Amino acid sequence: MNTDRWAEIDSVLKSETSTKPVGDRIANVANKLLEAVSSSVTVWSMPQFLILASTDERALALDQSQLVLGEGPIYDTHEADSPVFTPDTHGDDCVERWPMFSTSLHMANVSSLITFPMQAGAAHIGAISAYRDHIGGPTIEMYRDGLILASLATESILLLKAGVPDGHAIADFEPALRNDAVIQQAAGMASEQLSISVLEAMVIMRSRAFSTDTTLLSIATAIVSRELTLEI
Amino acid sequence: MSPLPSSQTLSQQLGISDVAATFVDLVHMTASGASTVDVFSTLAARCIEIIPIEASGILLFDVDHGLQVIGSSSHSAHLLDLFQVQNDNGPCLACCRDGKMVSDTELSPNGPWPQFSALARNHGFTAVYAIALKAKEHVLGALNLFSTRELTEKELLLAQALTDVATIAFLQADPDQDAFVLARQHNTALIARNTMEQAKGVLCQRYTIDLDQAYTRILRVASSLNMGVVQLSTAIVNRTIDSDTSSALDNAYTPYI
Repeated sequence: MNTDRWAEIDSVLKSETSTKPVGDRIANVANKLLEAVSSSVTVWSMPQFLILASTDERALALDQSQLVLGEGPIYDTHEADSPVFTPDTHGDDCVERWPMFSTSLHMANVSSLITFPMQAGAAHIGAISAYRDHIGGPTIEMYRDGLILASLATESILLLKAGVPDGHAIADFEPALRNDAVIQQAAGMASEQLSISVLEAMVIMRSRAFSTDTTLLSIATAIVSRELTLEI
Repeated sequence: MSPLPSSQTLSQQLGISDVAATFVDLVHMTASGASTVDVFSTLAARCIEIIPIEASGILLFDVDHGLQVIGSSSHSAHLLDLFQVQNDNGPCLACCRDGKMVSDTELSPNGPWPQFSALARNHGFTAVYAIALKAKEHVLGALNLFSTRELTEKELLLAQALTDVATIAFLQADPDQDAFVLARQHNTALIARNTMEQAKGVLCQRYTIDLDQAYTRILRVASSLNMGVVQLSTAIVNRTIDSDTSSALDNAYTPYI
């Protein structure tokens, strides 16, 4: 597997003033990679989202505006299970799509936006929003980078929820493991065992890997082979 | 196009032969907006019935040109595909690299992929074929066929034809689609694949069955209720299934494989 770009973005994410909380680092990297002026990271707490981090007041205000209005790209990216681009916020489609939120965008001088969902299978973790001051959509490279960043961010947020200290590795290389079928199967099994959501199961698996000083993959393998039953 | 009026597939309603039926159903699924994973899962399942062979699997390149296992007819096919990806070696990898069909009917310890050959033999297979999914010269991934006998030229042509139909489905009938739409398709396919794995896990635990049986159960219930495999998987994982679907899952006959 070609993991060069993964590793590059991962190291940017880690080196980005490592004293900062993980949410701020993701927002900063998104701002750079997606050529945005303001970016934010939001996490779902159904049916609403929480604003985990934002690069500035503008991103914060725009996310809050979506919360108040109940419309906007953060909701749409969740609905569609895919990224949302608005290359021109003054375009008809934007105004029709978000009659109220489009006004907030215009007032904040945002000309285009890109929003990526953070999700693992059916589990919705949150979104990364990039607000831009110029018209246009992302390039294909930017799009790929955004997908990679969203995957890395998803894992970081799951680790954060699991209480795993920043920088502590529970996998050899997390983005490679993210796609390992066993990890997804184990999350499904654990969610049924404990009558919890798959998202909660994912968090508990990571927490268990950390507390027993083992890898996520070995926890997942033990669950799938029915050698391990998790407890809450 | 409107959804099918009954739980029968379009080909069942038309009463046509297996091969024609598969073409009709793959195209109809695409026209009805079925997801990539649904289309490829159908391809994998139909290949084993109509060629016929023992198992099949599908690999697609993801956003960063890494290969991902997207659909398979059984758990052993899934394991063999995964093995190739993780070890960066095997007939499917060679096929994806060169865009040409690769066949290995010897699976010899002295061949180009001795470890893979040993594993395939352990699972009872004696021949492996990999057919490229291609849009013009761009290789999107490959279909893997696992067999206990050597396939005839005619059977391989049939497999190639089925693969082409599924590829067109993946491209939504437009071989000139730009890299953007492709990247989006790949990503959506990957999310759907992960959702299906989660759903298999849920059913494994609920019914004390293995992953293969869970997968078969999802395919059967989706087919009998005329739902997409991904739609059903999402509902299983999110616990949003209605009582009819729930009892269909409870009562689905799952043969021991």
